[in-house]
Amino acid sequence: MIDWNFMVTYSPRLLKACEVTFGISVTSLALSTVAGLGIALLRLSPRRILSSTAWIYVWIVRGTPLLLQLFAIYYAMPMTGLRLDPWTAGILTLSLNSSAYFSEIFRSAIQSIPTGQTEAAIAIGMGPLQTLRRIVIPLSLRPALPPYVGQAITLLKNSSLVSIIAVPDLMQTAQSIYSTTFKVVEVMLMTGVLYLIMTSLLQIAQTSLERRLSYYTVK
Amino acid sequence: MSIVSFRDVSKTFGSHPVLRNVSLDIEEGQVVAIIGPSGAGKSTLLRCVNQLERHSTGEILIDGMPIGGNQRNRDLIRLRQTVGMVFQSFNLWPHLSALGNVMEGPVTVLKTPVAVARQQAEALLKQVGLADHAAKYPGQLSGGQQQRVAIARALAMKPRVMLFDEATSALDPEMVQEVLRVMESLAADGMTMLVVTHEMGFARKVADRVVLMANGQVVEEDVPETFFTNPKEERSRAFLSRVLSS
Repeated sequence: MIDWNFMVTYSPRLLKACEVTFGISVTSLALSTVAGLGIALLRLSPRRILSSTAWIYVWIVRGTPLLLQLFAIYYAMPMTGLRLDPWTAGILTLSLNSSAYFSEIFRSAIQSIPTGQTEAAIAIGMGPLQTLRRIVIPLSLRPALPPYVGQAITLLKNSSLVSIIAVPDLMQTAQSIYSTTFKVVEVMLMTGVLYLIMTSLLQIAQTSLERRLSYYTVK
Repeated sequence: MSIVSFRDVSKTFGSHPVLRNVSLDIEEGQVVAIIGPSGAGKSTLLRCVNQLERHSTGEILIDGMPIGGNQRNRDLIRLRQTVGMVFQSFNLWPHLSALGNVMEGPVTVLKTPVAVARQQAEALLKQVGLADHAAKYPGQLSGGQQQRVAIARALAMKPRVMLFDEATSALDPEMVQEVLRVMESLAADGMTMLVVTHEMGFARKVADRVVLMANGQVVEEDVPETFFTNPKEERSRAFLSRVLSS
């Protein structure tokens, strides 16, 4: 049977570990969002050298396993003289990885804006940055939102991989608890529920943002 | 003094010529209607004025200043601000209210203080008969209303010349008149206007000059009275008999 007392006893420790998972995820989310937008703009640049550089980046990052990327940054980078602590390595890997996916999400959202909208901005005398800031980005938010949140959820779940390089996140804490208590079912149950709660928060954020962003669409 | 001059302007898309050696001068305060069959290059000609399309050869002058070519981006942007444009499909920004659309240019581009820009925008919306719709979003407005907001948006930049690219072609028939009336009153106020249109009645009544284009060339240009009653070119007669009989 399920040992409920055990679950009550260990829940504070797992909750504490949620903070680590959430912190790593949110930090990586912020960094990869900014980087992803930058890469998307490079990809859309008329300059061949910029767009192909971005294309190659996305190709490599999306085409290789996240775990391999984590090992490369944590174990292989020190050979080049750059030693990162597990936290930094984890956040850096997750950010680089997600930025490739985000860039494709942003690129398709930007390309979905009718050319007339940007032509109107150009015709009124806006420069490229003004057009981007005032027209292109606000108009891309709505189409980008669902796939963006989807990728954010993936990012949060993928953050469990940093447990392998000894970051005391939710997954790593769970492993250390069941390896000493052997209560695998209880620990996995609690851990699963906690991940689900965290991803649900993102889901809720999506729903409320979608509503806020659709105020101007035809009713 | 010409506000817009085309000097021997040509434009090709790939190997396909769309404009062939077009020369045309639009004087201050004039309304010039450009008519002709579709594919004649009318819209392309208009879009070259603010360089939404780049012309291949020849020269386009705005107030005596050449636009396009290897011009620095900053100078190109400054020149564009003196040219207002109204599109066939309105192209209002859907995330901004009618007022927001009209204020956007002055606030973002000209750095006009928000309070001042708001006052100007309200006055402009009133001018196009939409004072009561300032807070609405484009999705909540009819086509005719959207196009009038688009005209107010272009006017907010205090342009030297206004370009109308088939401004009424996408509208339901009953909304065409409300937009034409706004355009007519602009013309009466002395605005320099370059109007690509299929509205022959408007061209005849409001334009100071009518230009007929076909195959990327100017076929004939004249004052409306002469052009419509006594066209010189065979091509013009053929076009007119087709549009006026329909």
